[in-house]
Amino acid sequence: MLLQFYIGGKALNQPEIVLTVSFIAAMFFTLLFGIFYIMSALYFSKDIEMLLPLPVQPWEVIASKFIVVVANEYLTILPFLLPAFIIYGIGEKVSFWFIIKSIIVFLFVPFIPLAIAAFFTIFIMRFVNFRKSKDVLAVLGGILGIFMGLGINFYLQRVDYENPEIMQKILLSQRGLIEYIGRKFPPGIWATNALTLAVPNDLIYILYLIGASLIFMIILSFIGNGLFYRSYSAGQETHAKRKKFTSEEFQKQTSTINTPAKAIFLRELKILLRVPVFALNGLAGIVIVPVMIIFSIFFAPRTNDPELSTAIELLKTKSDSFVIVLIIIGISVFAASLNFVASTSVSREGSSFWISKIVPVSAEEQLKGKFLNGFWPPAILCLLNTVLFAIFASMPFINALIALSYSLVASAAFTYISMIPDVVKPKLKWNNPQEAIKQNTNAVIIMFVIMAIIIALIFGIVYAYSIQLDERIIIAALGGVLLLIFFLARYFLFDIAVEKYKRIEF
Amino acid sequence: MLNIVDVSKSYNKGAVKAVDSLNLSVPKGEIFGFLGPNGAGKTTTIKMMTGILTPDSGTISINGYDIQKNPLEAKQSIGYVPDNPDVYEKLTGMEYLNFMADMYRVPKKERSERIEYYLDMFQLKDAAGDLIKSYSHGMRQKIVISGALLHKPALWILDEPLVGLDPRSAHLLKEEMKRHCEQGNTVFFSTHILEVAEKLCDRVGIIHKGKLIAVGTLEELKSSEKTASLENIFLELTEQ
Repeated sequence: MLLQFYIGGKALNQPEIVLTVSFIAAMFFTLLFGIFYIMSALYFSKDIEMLLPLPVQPWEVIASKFIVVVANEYLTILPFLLPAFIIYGIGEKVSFWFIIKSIIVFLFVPFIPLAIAAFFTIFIMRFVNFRKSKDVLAVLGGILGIFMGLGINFYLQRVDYENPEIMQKILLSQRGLIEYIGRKFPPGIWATNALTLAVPNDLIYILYLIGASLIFMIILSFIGNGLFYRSYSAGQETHAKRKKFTSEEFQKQTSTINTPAKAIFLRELKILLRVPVFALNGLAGIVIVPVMIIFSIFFAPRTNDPELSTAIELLKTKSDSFVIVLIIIGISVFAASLNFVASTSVSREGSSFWISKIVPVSAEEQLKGKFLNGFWPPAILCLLNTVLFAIFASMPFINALIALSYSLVASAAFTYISMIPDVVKPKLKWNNPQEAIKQNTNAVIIMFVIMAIIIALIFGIVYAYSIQLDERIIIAALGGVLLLIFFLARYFLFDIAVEKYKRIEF
Repeated sequence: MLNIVDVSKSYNKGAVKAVDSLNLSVPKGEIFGFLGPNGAGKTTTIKMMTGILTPDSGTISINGYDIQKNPLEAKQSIGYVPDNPDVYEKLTGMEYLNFMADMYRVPKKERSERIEYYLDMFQLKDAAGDLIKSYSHGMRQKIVISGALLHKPALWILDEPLVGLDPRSAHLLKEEMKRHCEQGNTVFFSTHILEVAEKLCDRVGIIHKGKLIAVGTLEELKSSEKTASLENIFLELTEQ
């Protein structure tokens, strides 16, 4: 896709567009998910309590935590930026000076979006700390921030193809496309100009980027100095009713017996939903991405994108086609690849893992409970996807049934796969819940593994269509492949990985 | 009840020998005190007994079951309280106790009785509906103790159980330990409070630098070291 941006931009004599798009994407992604990382680093980190009594100013704590979050962010934005740097660098035969500038610009890309995320987080945590259900409000605040960001991004990225003045400006102006795409978030343009302009103009834009980053940090330190400790201290107060159960309530509380697997599932579910960072990270990806896709397909204004309009109309006229079934399965498995609930199922136990080691419950039984907790989010998503498409695309019932069952099998298979690395080598030592997810390489590795499987499946399906294989045969073969993946994944988890799980020392 | 045979455990690929050829046997009906300076190997030994760590060599059997070969049967006989009460902060006390009761398959009637018993004993009835995050250190210690004993295990393994407990709760726990052993069960606990060990334990073992350097009743240890107090015995033996 980036290559297409470069080729398309090159045709317009604006190859730099590949860099602008990457910078905007990286900064936007950092802004969206930075809310969680900042929230976790500042408000759910165990070491803050040790720092509070020390003669250290709040701004010093914020600044040091901020730098740690920035450093952790580099690995996240690398997949966005490195390919763009390489494509542009090779295509334009850049000099060694470009590489030096790339490193400098790369280092400062996360600063401004993370600072904005920090402003939002400090403000929202200051507000929610006055309420009893601060965890719930923290989650809602995070989700609100994400949807606001998505909405803003959607608004900003619309290009009005039908406006001749805008199109003229984009096509005829030397850097028109870059300036249009990056118009509402200038750091993206500064970063592009820093890399692509000649001396001394590139140095000016490097200074813009560094200067703006430092100014944002200073403002953050100033605001944080006034608000952070107060909001943190208030947030440490946990609401406790200290209300004795009545006899009836007590009997009700102790009357339900669960199997160990179900008890583990319920434990995991409660903790997942009650720890804001786990809830946001674990569920956000599988909720937001499909919502974005569905929104784009069914609710986005059509006038700006004639190709999308055509595609949607085609979708509706071909409602009995298996293509829609494949789209539903595709969205479901893509969301399954973002299933951090499964890929951090053991790591999230952290220092409480000793309980899992001492109870007389087999490792297999424990993993069953964890699987249930990892599977329910994508399962709900599969159902939602199928229902939405079935309604809006007027799908036949049998197609909807096929789509749902294939999606569930695929989601279950990918849930098993997602669990494997974390079962073998979990990250149990962490100071704040975000570390269990973000600094957990298991989650990142498995995301790429699942993406690779999905790409292989897509290639297989596209090839099958290209040789004009009967659609029913394609669907049947896909079902067979998904079942095979399901059983293989289950075998690897319950027969191989489980042996490693039993030997985890803590 | 508890048999530790030639157990060793090293860290850093053998560079640090935490436990060195430990041999120890604790029969039924005994309160055994496990003493030692910081870093002596007490917690490592206890973690191997409970299955949290795997010995490099040797065997540990609990109630006739090898903890490595028959872990589920062995663990069903154990009630373990760690030195640091790290439990699920986002569960309420009641949810935690019910969870532990489910793990140990405690039947419904007994579950209700025992949860009520321990909540009453430790004066946690008011707090049972609140998140463990709202508990003080002592309250967390109490809820962990309650969760460990719900299933009436034959062997209690307690790692410094009195730390953080108020005097009343500490006294009640000590009484429970005595009652437990009078019924033919066993308590194995580590402590730094030598006065408690002196008053409570039938036998004590002292571990130092991974080796069991002394084991026996207090009278046996006093006569062999020719000194009047456990404190003196401890200090003399662990100075070497």
